[in-house]
Amino acid sequence: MKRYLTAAAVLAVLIAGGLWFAMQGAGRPVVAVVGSGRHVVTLTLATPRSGDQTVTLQVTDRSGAPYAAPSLPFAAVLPTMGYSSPPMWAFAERTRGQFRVDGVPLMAPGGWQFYVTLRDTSGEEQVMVPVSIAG
Amino acid sequence: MTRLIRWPLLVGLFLAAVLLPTASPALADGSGAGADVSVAQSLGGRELTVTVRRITSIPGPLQVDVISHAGTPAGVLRLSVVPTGADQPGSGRSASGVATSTASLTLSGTPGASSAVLQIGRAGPWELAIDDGRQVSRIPFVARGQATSPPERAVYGGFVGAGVCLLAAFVLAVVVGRTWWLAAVGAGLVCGIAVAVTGAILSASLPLPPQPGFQIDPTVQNAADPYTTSLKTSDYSRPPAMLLLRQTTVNASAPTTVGLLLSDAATGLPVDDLVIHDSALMHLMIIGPTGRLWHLHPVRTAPGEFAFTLTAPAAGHYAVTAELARRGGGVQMLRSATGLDATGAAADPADPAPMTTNERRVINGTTVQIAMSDPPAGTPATLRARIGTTADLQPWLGMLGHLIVVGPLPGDGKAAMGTAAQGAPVWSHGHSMGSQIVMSTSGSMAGMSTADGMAMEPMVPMVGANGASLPDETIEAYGPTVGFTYVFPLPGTYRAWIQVERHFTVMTVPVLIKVAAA
Repeated sequence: MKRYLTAAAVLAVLIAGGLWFAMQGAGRPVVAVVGSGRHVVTLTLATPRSGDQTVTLQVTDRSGAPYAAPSLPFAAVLPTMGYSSPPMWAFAERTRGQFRVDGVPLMAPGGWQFYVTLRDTSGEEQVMVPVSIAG
Repeated sequence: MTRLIRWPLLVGLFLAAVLLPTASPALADGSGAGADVSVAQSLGGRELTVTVRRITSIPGPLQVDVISHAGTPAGVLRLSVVPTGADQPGSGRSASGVATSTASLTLSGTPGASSAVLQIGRAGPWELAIDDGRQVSRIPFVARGQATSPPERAVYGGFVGAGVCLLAAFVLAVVVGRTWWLAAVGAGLVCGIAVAVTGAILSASLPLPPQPGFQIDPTVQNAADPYTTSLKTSDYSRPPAMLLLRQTTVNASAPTTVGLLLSDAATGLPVDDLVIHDSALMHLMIIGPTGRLWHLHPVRTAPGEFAFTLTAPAAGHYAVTAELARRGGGVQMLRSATGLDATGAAADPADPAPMTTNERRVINGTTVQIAMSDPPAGTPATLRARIGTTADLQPWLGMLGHLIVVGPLPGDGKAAMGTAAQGAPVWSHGHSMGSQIVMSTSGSMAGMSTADGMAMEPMVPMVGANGASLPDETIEAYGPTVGFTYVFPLPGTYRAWIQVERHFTVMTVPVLIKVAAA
């Protein structure tokens, strides 16, 4: 009897391990850092799934100083489908340099591109952050 | 288990346990992968071929060779590499966007290759910036890590697990002596071997992951290991691009830098996902009013923005067409709807009349012989050109010869070529990989004019030294005959241009072809 219990316990551990391995990476937030010559953008997509999603942005200049603006233009593009979201705005949060945009319409899985437009005294520049949406 | 079989079994298990784990995985996280990448660049007044040599280690050196052609002025190029693209936070690397390595490269004015060595610190997307003092060309490329596929990891892991089980079985058999423990570990051994064998069988048949740079947007992570991407689809293609000229008029006889904007045909956004195709990001063909052809390679100055410098020798219209390939899709030809108009006084030099399809002529000291039977429309026809007398052609843009065909043209195909080319139904660009000797069933040579007296020579295969990279322009060993087989879709008069490279000079030979109705 003891042997059967031991075997069952080993089997259960193996199955649990397999499930844990299979679930690795599924649904975890996507965080990506992209730099330009003048800025650094850290984009977080809490739920990398199809649907209306929330994107948060941490924007600094190259020295680490927070990007100061009440909002910044944002767009989501799925190039393989020839789709672009309507112009959107990411609004500043309480934390300096942090912005948030709700309701980003990710209607299909694929290789999405998030465009963030930044302005400073040197002019305007656009930063593209690629994010894969699996399901 | 009897004593008779226990000891031989234990010895066998011990040997296997010692030997099996030595089949360790060839971990190659620090190695690069890929081949040489050549990119033609029309930078200012220079026509250069920039070759990024195969990356052998990451971090490590990045050798950049710049091949200049005859007539390229001497000067200094400032080279730098800039990491681009997305990374994961906490990697310890500084964010992309700032140059990490710079070098200078001196062009002596003598045709040939010059080299510079830069350093790259990580796998992922990069930009090679080349500054000639007036313009900065930004060439995107991807430094790829050498990743181990999941089936390969299963093979390694399975065998390592089997080895551990063998060792455990040895210890258990000697120390514990319980048969059922031994059986359990033996089952693990069998499982390990089964996993390894299954992985080995699957490794050859499983599809490759999407290729960063070619199919999907590259990031640091997917360039280092393409198996990390969760994106899997059967169609990575993107919409066509639109070719928009930033200006449509230029002054004749004055060098003018013309900007090009590539716009996505679906969203209107700038297109910044070109992949290198036939050794260039973009092949730009311009046909002027006198019938001259320019085959340029505009430099990428910003996302979606390209530029080239043109000195229009005559007033009149210049038809413009680009060939390019976007990430995830095939090659596309974009014909500018506007073209360029050159105004003002100009020297209007007379370009040489096009050759006929059976003619021998000396062009700039080189004997050129053209041979072709006048073809009917809709039938494959072979145009052959013998350039010089010895096998000294150099591959240009990865090919021995280029054939650009435009037509049918109005009239005799000689007047107002720019305007005629703007409205021509057919624009084609084909290649030659050799002389294309066609053997008939009787063993005689067929597919060419019998009256041209053109000597035949065996084709020299274009095989690179390391098998992965084709020979570059420094190899002068091909030809002298190049052949092109083409089906003229419509009857009429066509203008064709044959382009080959010899002695680091690109020769352009115009040919007039009359195509009869089928």
